[in-house]
Amino acid sequence: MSNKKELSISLTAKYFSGSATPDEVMELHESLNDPEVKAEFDKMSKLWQASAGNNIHNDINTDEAWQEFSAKIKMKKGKTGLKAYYKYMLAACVVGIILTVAILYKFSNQQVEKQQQYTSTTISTRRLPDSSTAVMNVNSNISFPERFNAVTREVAFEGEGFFDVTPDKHKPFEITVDDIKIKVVGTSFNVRQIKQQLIEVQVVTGIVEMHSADKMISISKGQRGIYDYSGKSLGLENNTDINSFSYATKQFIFNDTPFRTACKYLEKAFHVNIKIDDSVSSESGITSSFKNKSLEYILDVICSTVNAEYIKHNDIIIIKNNNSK
Amino acid sequence: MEQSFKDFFYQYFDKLHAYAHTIVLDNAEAKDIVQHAFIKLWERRSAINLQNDGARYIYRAVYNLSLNAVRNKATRDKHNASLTASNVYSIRHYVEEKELAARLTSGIENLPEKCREVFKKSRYDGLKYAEIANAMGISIKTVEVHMTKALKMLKEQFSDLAIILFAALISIINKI
Repeated sequence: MSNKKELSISLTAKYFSGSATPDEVMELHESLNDPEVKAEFDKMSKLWQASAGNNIHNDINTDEAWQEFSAKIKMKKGKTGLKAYYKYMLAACVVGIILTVAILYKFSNQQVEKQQQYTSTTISTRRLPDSSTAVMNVNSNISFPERFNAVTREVAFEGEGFFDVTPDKHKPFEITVDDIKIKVVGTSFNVRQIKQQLIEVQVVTGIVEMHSADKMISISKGQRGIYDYSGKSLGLENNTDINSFSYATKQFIFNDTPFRTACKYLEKAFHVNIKIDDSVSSESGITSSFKNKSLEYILDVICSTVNAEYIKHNDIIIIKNNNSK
Repeated sequence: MEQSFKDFFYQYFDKLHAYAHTIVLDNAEAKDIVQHAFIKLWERRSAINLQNDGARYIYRAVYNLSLNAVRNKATRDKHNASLTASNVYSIRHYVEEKELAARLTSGIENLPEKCREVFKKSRYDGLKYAEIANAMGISIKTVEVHMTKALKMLKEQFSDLAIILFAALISIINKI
């Protein structure tokens, strides 16, 4: 390291990509003590951060971190000093809790379940009694009890929704869509029903089971299950389209996706109507990813790559070439 | 609480957090990892000389804990599915970022083919050098060369960065 005044780009690249060894990172961090090198590094860091819509590193508040750390250290000290006396106390408490739970459990089974029902007119998130969530697309219906019973978590559903189910091995989560039962333990997945045509389940994490009257398929992460109303058949495909449920995840990943197709995804996720003028090269590939970005933001970015601009009027968006004014 | 340990914590916490983030690509996860590493260091403070060996010890600890976290598939899944709704930007930050992102998207497309492919695999797919080398059937050294080149070229394209941001700001002010 004879020349400490200059930032090593190859080391910086390696560092950004998460491929640097601890010693290399130490070397890099030490070199940042020089203000000029630090300025250069900050510039590179800004470029790197801006080059994708996700995986952004946020600055951390060291004071808060220190408080958290101090609290953890104190707790550790406390734990080692647990005396026999406290152990008996603890045992007594546990017995007490078990008794209470048993009584409540008995009680809850005798209660009449009240049914909750919702119809969505806009994209909205519903929290279920077990703190699972359902992001519901427009014109979808959900109903579930005010409290789930002791054995299962039963939900009836119509339309399209993205479910993130809280894990509970002992209490399966069951969604009924017409003739189909969707059973999970704890996962996230998208359900889409087109009445009298199909019911589709795309799995993002974990495993989901789809049951028809006489058949069952098990759908893993990255797969989709499809029920066909006419043939009453269940099928499994080894792919998912994560941009098809962006209305819920607010995440888009375009990898050489034709501009026209990208716009179709935006139409679906934001419930708008996009008209592309013939002057726009709509087959050009777009490569970019977005997370929690507004429609306007995404349009600005993708339009700039095909040298186009857009006009938004309520739900209608018109895209045309920059030069065709 | 020993003052020297506190000083050490303040000196390194944010750096280590940035480091862990380059590997796990998740801010909350990175924070937990660095906390964990400091607790390990705290427990061994009688055996380790902070001034001489503390830094090396904690950088290694963060590295190993980060790799473990990535290997743990559940973490990855959680990372993919995590839906963070809060995203508040000041107007200035928003404009800066949008302007940059738009220009960068075309800047990246203009990189030489191999270079671009390596860069995208790293930035968009979060792959590490070894994984990229494996996926493309090239050596790790070649990956390193491409990444360095990509970063250098982007840097040159954006040497006028400060000017762009300034211009963006002026145009906003004019619109108001």
